[in-house]
This record gives sequence, C-alpha cells and structure tokens, in this order.
Amino acid sequence: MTQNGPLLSIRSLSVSFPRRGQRVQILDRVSFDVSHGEIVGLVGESGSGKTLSSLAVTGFLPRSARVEDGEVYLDGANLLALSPEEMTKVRGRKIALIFQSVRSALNPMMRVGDQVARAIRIQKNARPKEAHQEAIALLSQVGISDAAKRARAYPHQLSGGMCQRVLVAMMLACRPSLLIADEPTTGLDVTIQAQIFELIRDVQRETGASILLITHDLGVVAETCQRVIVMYAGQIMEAAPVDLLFGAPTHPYTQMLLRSVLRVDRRVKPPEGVTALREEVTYAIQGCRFAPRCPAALPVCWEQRPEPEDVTLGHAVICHNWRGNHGTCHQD
Amino acid sequence: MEPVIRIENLQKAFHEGRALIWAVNGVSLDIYPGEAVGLVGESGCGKTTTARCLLRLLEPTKGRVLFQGTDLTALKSRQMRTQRRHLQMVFQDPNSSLNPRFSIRRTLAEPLHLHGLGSGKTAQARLEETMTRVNLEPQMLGRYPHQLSGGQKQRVGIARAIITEPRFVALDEPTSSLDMSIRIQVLSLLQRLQQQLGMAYLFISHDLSAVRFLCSRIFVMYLGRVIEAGPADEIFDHPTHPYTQALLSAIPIPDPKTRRTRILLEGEPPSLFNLPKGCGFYDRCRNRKPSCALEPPALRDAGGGHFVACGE
Repeated sequence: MTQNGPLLSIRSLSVSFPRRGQRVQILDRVSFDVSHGEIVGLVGESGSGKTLSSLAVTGFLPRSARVEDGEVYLDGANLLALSPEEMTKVRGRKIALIFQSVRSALNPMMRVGDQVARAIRIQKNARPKEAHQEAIALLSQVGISDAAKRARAYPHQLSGGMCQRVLVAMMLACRPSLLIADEPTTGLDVTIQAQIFELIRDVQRETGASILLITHDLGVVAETCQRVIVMYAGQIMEAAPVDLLFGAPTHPYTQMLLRSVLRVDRRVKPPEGVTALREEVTYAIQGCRFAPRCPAALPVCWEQRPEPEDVTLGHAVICHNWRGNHGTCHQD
Repeated sequence: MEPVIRIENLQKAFHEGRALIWAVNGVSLDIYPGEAVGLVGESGCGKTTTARCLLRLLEPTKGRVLFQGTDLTALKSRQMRTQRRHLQMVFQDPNSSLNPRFSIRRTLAEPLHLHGLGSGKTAQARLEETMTRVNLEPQMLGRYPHQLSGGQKQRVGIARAIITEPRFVALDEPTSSLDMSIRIQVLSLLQRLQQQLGMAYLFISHDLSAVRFLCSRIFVMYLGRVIEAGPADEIFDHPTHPYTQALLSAIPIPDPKTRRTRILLEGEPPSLFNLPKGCGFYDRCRNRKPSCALEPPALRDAGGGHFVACGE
C-alpha cells in the first residue's frame, strides 16, 4: 500500500483468445500506470484493445479470454490474483465503471432511485430509508432536477444523458479511487456530451479519484486528460502528457491519427496519401503490429517487438525507427 | 442558376398512438448543382426525416419537393421510380443497407438493370469503372459484404449510389460508424467524387467537423425547424443563433493549445409530443425574451446569404 506509487499499475499484460483452434494474443505486453488523482486517456481505433485492457482491470474478461502473462496492481495489490468474490468487493469499493451502453448498465426492471440506493447500501450499512434519501441527494448532485420524482422512474423513461447521470450518481455512492469510463458519451448528442464531461470533471475535482478514460475522440482527450496512451492492435504505441502527444507526436501511428483528425474550428484540407491506407488490423505479427500500415517501417519492425524508449521524461514511444521517422505531425 | 433540389415548406407528421408528432415543421431549402449542403442538428431535430421526405422514402404531410423544376411529391410511384436514377442515397450503416446475400457485383448491377443502363459487357465495364472510382479493386466484385471491412462496405454503398450517375445524393451519416482514420478517407473520397462527377450532396450529420470538411453551405435544425442557414465558414466562425453557438462550442477540439469558452446548455430539447408554442429553443436559451414564447421566429436575412431564426 504505497501512496507514493501509482494507483493503478498494469505490468506486461498479455491476454489471448481462441481463434480457429489456436490462441491469438490480442493484448500484447501492455504496461501503463495511472497515478493518484490523474486523468489518463486510453485512445485507439476499433480492435486496439483499449476496452479489453479495462475489462482485465475490472475482472470482467470474457470466459474465452486467458491472461497469459502480467500483473495488474491497484494500490499495490495484484488484482489478477484475487478470487471472484474478492474482486467483487474491489469493484464495489475501489473501482467504478461507466460503460458505453448506458441503458444496459442499468437494471430495466428497477427504479433508478432504488438502484442508486442499493449501491449505497452495498457500500455502507445504511437503512433502506436513509439510503433512499441519500440516493435522491446524489441524483440532484449530478444535476437531475426534480430528483425525488425522477428517482421513481425506470431507465426507459429517462433520456440517455439522464441515465448516464444516474450511473455517475451510483459511482459517487461508491466513492471509488479509480473510475474507468469507457466511451461514456457514445450515442449522446454533443451538447449532452459536454454536460456529462463537465460532470465527470466536477466529480474528479471533488472526490480526487483517478480516471481512466477510454475513447476514440482525440478532442475529448485534448480537453479532459492530463496524459494519453495510444494503442494499436493490442499494443501500446506511445504514451505522453497531452500537450506533448499533440505537439510532438513521435510514433508514426500517432502521427497518422493526428493527420486524420478533423476540426470544427477550421476547415481541414484532405491529407495526402490518406486514401491508400489499409485498414485491416493484424494480430499475428511478431514485431510491431502497425508495421503493415507504417510508412517508416524497417525489416526489423516485422520481426522484433521494439522496447519502450523515452523521448523525454514521461514521454515514451515504442518504435524501432522513431529517430529516423520525420513524418509531418500536424495539419498546419 | 436553377437549384437542382428545392424544398418548399416541408412538413411531416407521424401518428404516435392518438397523438400527432410533427418531426419536420416547415423546412425550406435549395441545393444548387455541384454543391455540398450540410444539414446538422442533434437527434430528433428532423434532419433524417427531411432527407427521407425529399427522396420520397417517406411521404411528406405537406409541402413540395422540386427536382430540376419537377414536383416530386406529385409524381405517381412509377414516374418517381424513373427519377430515382438521378436521386440517390448513402445510408448510415452499411451492415444493414447492403444485402448480406448479394455479392458486390449483384448489389451494384441491380440499379443498372432497374434503370436500363446497360447489360453484359457495357454493364461489366461500368461496374469495374465504378469500383475503381471508389478505390476498390474490381476483383472484389465477387465478394460478399461479410468479407469486407467497414470502410470497404461503405465504399460499396457509395458505389451503388453513384453508378447511375445521379444529379443529387443524400448522405445520411455516412461516416459515423467508421474509425477516424477511415472516416477521413471516406470523406476525401466523397469530396473527390463530387468534384469529378458534379453531383450535389445533402450531407446529414451530427459530426460537425466532418460537415465543415465537406460542405460549403449548412442548415442547422432544431425541433423540426431550420434555425440558422448560410455559408459554412461564416456559420462556423460567426454563429448567430444561441443554439448554434452552444452546439459549436460543445464540440471538443483536438488541440490542447486551443482553449474556448464553452456554453453549457441546460436540460434537453423538449419532447416532440409537446411542442412549445413559440421558439423551440426558448427553455434552454440564455438570451430569451418573453416575446420568444409567443410564436416561433421566422428566418430573417442577416446578410451575405446568412439566415437566422431568432427573436433577439
């Protein structure tokens, strides 16, 4: 239990799935930390393994998945060594989750107020009536007007944004030290999305919880996170403080991502050569899995996995050719 | 120049139990040849319903849709079918808009047969040419949708729309199911095709950065009405309606150096079951005046082709 060390530490985590009679290693030696009170963004496209990493942390890996190697430490304790019962307790008390499918995270048969009250009663031995009062207080704290009345609603009677607020209230009830938010605003309109992120930032300031924010939206990362981890095909490509990742991206994949970013505050010109990109993600590569799409790939990239190197303090890149790669980074 | 599409006071109501829901409530817009027009707004604002009424995939309750001067709403279905060659659509989700049991060849050949645009060798030549246009290998014609990636499937959706050489294509969120590096490829492709083939687009999206990339003019909808319209750069840089201002300010910018003041809107749009009498944005507007609650403000000319419906 070291307060000085990171709150969450994932060390060389590899997770495999069966595919056509063989085990395919989807997550490949993933390592990263989340410090106390820090907001870290985990970005990548479909199939990058960002959601899978969060499932491994929370013990929600599907049955067919197998942890091949690695450790996940929360406050110094290895979560992968815990029994399912012990893990349930960690999830209730230390880790809270906000999922992308808001509605499936709530019980459709139960009034939302009762669901929040239940979270409170699991957390502390409150009486039903007290828990209910506290639930209403939490619901109004997350910006639900007329909370006493809304507490009696079932999830289907509330909008998506409202349901997400209910989930944030449940999370507040648990007072977790780590919040994992997996695409928390997918399917919500942008004005509602802005409200939810404002709420998440408020909650972070108030509780001091660390947040692992999983998203594909680089705009959200730029505005919300302090540090960013970029994943591709189950491997980490680059990890850096937000301003360095956007200002001096070093990995060819990060550079490609930033080149394909569109902005609402100015008209972006189509980047050159972007039409010829391949899009299939391949996991069956010994070396760097980005090699098939990489403009700076060397023969060694296919054979051997590069080791993390520090570009500057706190800015790590996993690329054989980052020194020789002078890809343009921004659209300006 | 004559507009290729003119929508006049379009209204569409749906029956919901005993109640009537007005999803589109008096939309008028013109689209000129070779122009990409963006139709933006949040869910439930009526943008998709507008496009579907335009193509008569839905029957408008009131109003007219003119295509090169012909009133589409007055056509019999057989006459409408012959016009469809010129009016195409690309759908949001290629997984549900492509028939999984059709090969790509069959999917693309069908519009050619329906409109009598060639068979045998001429059809084959046209199929191959269209595949090349959307950056797909002609050898892929024999494949089925499940053998393609998301971006490739959406390219097939685009190929199906352009193979009849339409004058106008409605694009309904064509990139919202795609990853960001694929999204820009598809948008660049749409831009290039528009320039090569001179088609007009109506691009429906809640992704405003994609709209800014592709469109030269935009219409912003809220609760079934157009509340602001004009040249894209003008509206993105100087939004006038309080809703447009809040909408644009809510979109995160992928650049930590850019800091903006965000206008956070209170609450959510009112229910379509219970439309307010006055301005639809009244409850959430920070500049509202008592008179705004009385009747919906009309679009007024703010100069330079910029129109705003606001009582302020």
